[in-house]
Amino acid sequence: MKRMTSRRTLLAFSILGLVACSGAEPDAMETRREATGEKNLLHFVVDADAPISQGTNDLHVSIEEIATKTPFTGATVTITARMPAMGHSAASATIEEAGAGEYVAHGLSLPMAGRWEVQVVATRAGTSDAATITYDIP
Amino acid sequence: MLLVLALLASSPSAARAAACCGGGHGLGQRLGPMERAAASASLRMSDRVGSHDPNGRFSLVRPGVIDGDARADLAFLVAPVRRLQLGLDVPFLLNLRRTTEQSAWGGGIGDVTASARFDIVPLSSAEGFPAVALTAAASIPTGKPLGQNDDPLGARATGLGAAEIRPGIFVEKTWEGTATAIFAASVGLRTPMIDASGEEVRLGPRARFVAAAGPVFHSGLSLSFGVVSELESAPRIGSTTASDGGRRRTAALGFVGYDLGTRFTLLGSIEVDLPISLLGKNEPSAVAVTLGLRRAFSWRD
Repeated sequence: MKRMTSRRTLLAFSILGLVACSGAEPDAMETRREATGEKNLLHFVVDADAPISQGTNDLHVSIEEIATKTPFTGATVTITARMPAMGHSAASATIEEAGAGEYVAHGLSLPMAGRWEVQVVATRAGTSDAATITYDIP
Repeated sequence: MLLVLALLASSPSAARAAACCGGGHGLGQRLGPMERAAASASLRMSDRVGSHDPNGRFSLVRPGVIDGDARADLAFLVAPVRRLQLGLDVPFLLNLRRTTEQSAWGGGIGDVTASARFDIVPLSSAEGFPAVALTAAASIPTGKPLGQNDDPLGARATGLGAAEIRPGIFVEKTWEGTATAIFAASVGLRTPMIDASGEEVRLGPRARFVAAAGPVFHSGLSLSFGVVSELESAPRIGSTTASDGGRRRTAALGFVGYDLGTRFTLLGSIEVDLPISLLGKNEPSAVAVTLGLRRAFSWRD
């Protein structure tokens, strides 16, 4: 595995000349994102413990009612992800409420590099709103 | 040896092995004027080195990440009549995925491809004019698409998830056995598919252009270099088409062939997705190396 890593590193550096002129090194992905719901009813803050990457990811979602500025507790939250360029989709495994409008989504699978659109939908009684967060995995 | 460039340029194994994601499924191989059939086996190894985002910006893959693929192709070609060739390609894939947190591997049979070629201007009668042929390929979704995977790294994905028809044209020019050049163009048209969430996904058509040229030596060695460009329009998911969902890919190609006697040819190629911003869009970038062996059967056999 070390030898494989060395070869890959050498290959990567061998084309780095072109990249340095016209490309970009991957920056650490900003993990905190905020979005207002499509219906302007809820405000979403989505965060993660580590940069979003290929494989499984855990997300922390905070939801607040815009009109009352109070946590949106007791909601049914669903999280789905889609890669718009290739039509792939992924669903979060489990979502649990951590209290005070905080929800934790475990095991959101993003199997490929590329742009993923993660949609968060929150519903409680007669109130429902959704927001889409975009992540680019290099 | 003049066949080598045409064979490698049109071989499905020379096409990008993006099993899940619609990289060109190939134009079908070609038989030479004196050949009535051929069988070949090839092994392609690739590794992702980065990707282009929706704005065309290139980024290197993160340290510790491996997106490796191995693909073995068994291909058969036969000419039932002189100007018509029919082919079949059966791929087998092995995928290795690794991040700093997880790893997975998997594989299986990929999407089987049937091909056909009709010579409008055969190579043997070209005499200064380029040979021209119409090509067609049909890929059957015998592989496992990404949506049916239960592993978070998609290592068990071996197919597109949709059938594809790929009509095209192939133009070839030779210079008295000293050099050869080819140009090939095709477009892949896909059937709709249902994704994991139950929505209908209609992938856009994917156009593929290949241009290559190189010298041929009397020793039996031939070399060629070229470029491949692929363009794909954004998919339609349900009733929505993503505004930034189009795809673009540009790669450099290198081929080598060597005759082992009169029946066998050793083939090799390297394909490098160019890590230059704006030459790609919504595409992973990889380096792939292929090695193959071809056995030909002449009309006199």
